[in-house]
Amino acid sequence: MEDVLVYGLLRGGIYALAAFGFSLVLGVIGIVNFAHGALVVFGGLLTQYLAVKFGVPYAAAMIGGALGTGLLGAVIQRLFVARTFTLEPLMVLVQTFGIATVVTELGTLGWGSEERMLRLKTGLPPGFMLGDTFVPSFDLVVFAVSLVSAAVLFVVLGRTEFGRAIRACRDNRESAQLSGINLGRTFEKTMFLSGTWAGLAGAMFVTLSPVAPYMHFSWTVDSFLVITIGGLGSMLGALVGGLVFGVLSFGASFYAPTIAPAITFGVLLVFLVFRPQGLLGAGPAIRK
Amino acid sequence: MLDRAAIPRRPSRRAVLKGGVLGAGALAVGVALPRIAGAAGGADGVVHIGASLPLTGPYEKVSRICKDAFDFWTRTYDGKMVVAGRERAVKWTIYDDENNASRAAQLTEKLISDDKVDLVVGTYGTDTVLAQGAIVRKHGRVFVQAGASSIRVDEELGGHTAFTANGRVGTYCAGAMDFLASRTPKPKKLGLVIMDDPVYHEIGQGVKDKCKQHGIDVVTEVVLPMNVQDLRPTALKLRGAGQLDIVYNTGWDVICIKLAEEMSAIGVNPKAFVGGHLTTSPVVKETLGSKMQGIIGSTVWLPQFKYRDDKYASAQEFAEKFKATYGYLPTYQAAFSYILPYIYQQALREADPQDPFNPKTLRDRLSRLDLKDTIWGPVSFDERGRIRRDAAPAVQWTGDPAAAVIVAPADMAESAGVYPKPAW
Repeated sequence: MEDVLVYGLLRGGIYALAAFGFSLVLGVIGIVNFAHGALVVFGGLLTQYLAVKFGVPYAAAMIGGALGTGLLGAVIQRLFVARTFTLEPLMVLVQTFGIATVVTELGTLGWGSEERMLRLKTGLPPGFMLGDTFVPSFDLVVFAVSLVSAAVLFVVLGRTEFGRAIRACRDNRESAQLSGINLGRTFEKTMFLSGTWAGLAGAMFVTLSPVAPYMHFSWTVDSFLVITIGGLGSMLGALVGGLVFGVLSFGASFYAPTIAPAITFGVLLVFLVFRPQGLLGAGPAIRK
Repeated sequence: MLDRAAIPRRPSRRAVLKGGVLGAGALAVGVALPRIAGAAGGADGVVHIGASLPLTGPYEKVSRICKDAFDFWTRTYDGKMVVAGRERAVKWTIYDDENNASRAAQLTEKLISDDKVDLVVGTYGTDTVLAQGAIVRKHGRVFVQAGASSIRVDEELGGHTAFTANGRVGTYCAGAMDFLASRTPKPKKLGLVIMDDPVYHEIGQGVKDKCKQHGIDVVTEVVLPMNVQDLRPTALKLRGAGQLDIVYNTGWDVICIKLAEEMSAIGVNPKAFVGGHLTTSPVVKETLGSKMQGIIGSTVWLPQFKYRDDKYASAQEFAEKFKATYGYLPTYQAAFSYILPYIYQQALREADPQDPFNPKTLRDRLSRLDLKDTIWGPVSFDERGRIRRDAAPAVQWTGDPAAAVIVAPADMAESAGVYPKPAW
C-alpha cells in the first residue's frame, strides 16, 4: 500500500506537469486542446533529438525541448486557433484533433515512428529507502522539478504583468480589452506557456520511459482526467489532480490491471456527475 | 426576330439510337477488356500477387519490413516467377488494411473479385489474417501466410484455406525455457507477464506448459491490458512475489523495454529475464543499452541461422544484401515475408500449364511441399497447413557492446549462455 502511494505520487508529478498547460488553455482561451498530448510527445522527442543528435547536455536539451514546444504552441495559436476559437466548441475540438494528427504525422516523418528514450548518467545513487519503499533517485528529481516548475508557473501567473493579463482575459475578455490588453497576443503567450510546460513534461518523461509519436492521445486523455479531478482551469487543481490521478491510476494498475482504464474512467464519471468543478475548481467549466 | 441558330436543336431519334448503340458498345468493351486482360494475365506471362498489410497503425513498422521483403524477393528473382515451367513477370497489388479486420476482408474481396489476383499472400496480425482467410475461403481459394501464428488459424482455416509458414506461438518459448531449465542451479520460480489478448495468452500457456514439464513454479502471473502505459505497477507486483529466478514477458518490444526499465528502477533483479519474441527488435537494444546484458529473447529467425536457398549461400548473405538494399538488417518478419512468394514459386514451378492457379491442385501441391533449403529453413506443412516447426531458438545478449548469440537449441547454439545474468 505504501509502495502504491509513493510511486503513484511520483508519477503524479509528471501528470500534473503535463496538465498545467491543458488547464491554462482551457481556463484562458476556453478551448479543449486535443493537440496537447502531441505537444508533450513533441517536447520529449525534441529533447531526445537535441541530446543524442547534437550532444547537447540534458539540462540544455530539456530547456530547448520545452521552449521549442512552447514556440510550436504559439504558432498553432496564431495560425489556427486564433481564427476559430470563437466558433462552436465542437469545431475547435475537431480542429485541435486535426492539429494533433498533423503534428504527429510530421513528427513521424522527421523522427520515425519508433519509440525513443534518453538514457542519463546522473551520477546519483540508484535510490534510497523511504520506510519500506525503494525510491529511485531520478524519479525524485523528476518529482522535484515538477513541483518547482509548478511554483514557477504560480509566480508567473500570480505576480507578473503577463500573469495579470492572462487572468484578466480569463475572468472577463471585454474588460481586459477595454483595459488595453491585446487579447490575441495574450492568447499566444498563453499557448506558449502551455506548450512550454507540456514540452517540459515530455522532456522529463523521455528519461523514464520510451516516447513515440503515436502515444500523444493517451497524454491528452490523461491531462483531461487530471483537470477533471483537480478542477477545470485551476492551476492548483491541476497539481492536486495530477497527484491524485497518479495514485489512482497506479493503484488501479497494481490491484486490477486488466480493468485499470475502466476504473480511472469510472472515477472521471463520478466526478462529472457529483463534482463537475473538480476538487479545487470554482465552478463547472462554462464557455465564455 | 427569332434566331434559330441560337436554339439548341433536339437530337433526332436516329442520332439518339446511334449514340446509344455506340455508348453501349463502348461500355461493353470497357467492362470486358479488363476481364479479357485479367484472364490473359495468368496465361499471358503475368503472375498477379495480391496482399494487404497494416501499413498504418500499430504494426506500421513491421508492415514496412514485410513490404520491403516482398520487394526484395521480386528483385532477387528479377521480377519473375517460374510457373508451370515458364518464366512470368510478377505484378504486386498491396493495400493498407490499417490493422482492421473488416478492412482486410473488404480488400481481400477486392483483390480476388476486382483485381483478379492469381495469388493472395497473408497480412500481419491474427484478426486480420482470419478475416482475410474467411474471404479466401468463400472464393474456394488458398493462401499462404506467416503474419498470424495463433492456433486459431489452424482451427478455422488450416489445411484447406490457409498454409501458415510460421510456427505456433505456443512454441515461441520452447528454446528459452529448455535452455533455462538446463541451468545449474535449476530455476524454480517464474513470474509471467501476459498481455490480455488471445495470442499472448497462447504464448503464456506455452510458458506454463514448459514450466510444468520442467518443474518450475509460476509464482505470479500478471495480465495486462493491451493499452498499458505504465509498467511500474507490474514491476512492483513481481517484486512482491519474492526472489524470482525467471521473469518471462510475452509482450512486444516496448513492453520488454518498459518492464526492464521499471524492474531496474525499483531493484527487481531476476536471475533471468526473457524479453519475448520481439526482443530482437533493434529498438530494444538501442533503448536499453547496457541493460541488455544477459537478456534472453526468443526468435524464429536470425541471420546466424544456417539456412540457404538457390540464390543465397547463407542467411547471412541474404541479410547483408537486404541491408545493402534497404539500409537495415532484416528481422524475422522480413525473412517470413520473403518466403511467402518463394513458397508459391516452388509449389507452382511444375503446375499444369492449362490451369496453373487452380485452387485444388495448388492446395495439393502446398500440402506435399517439402523444401529442405530455404532462407526460412526447411518448409513443409502438416495436415492443418502449419509449418512443421516445434520450437523457436533462444538468443542471449552478451559482450560489450551486447550482441545476440544463439544459446538454444543445442545443435544451433553459438554460446553456452549466461545464468544468472548480471544485475541491471
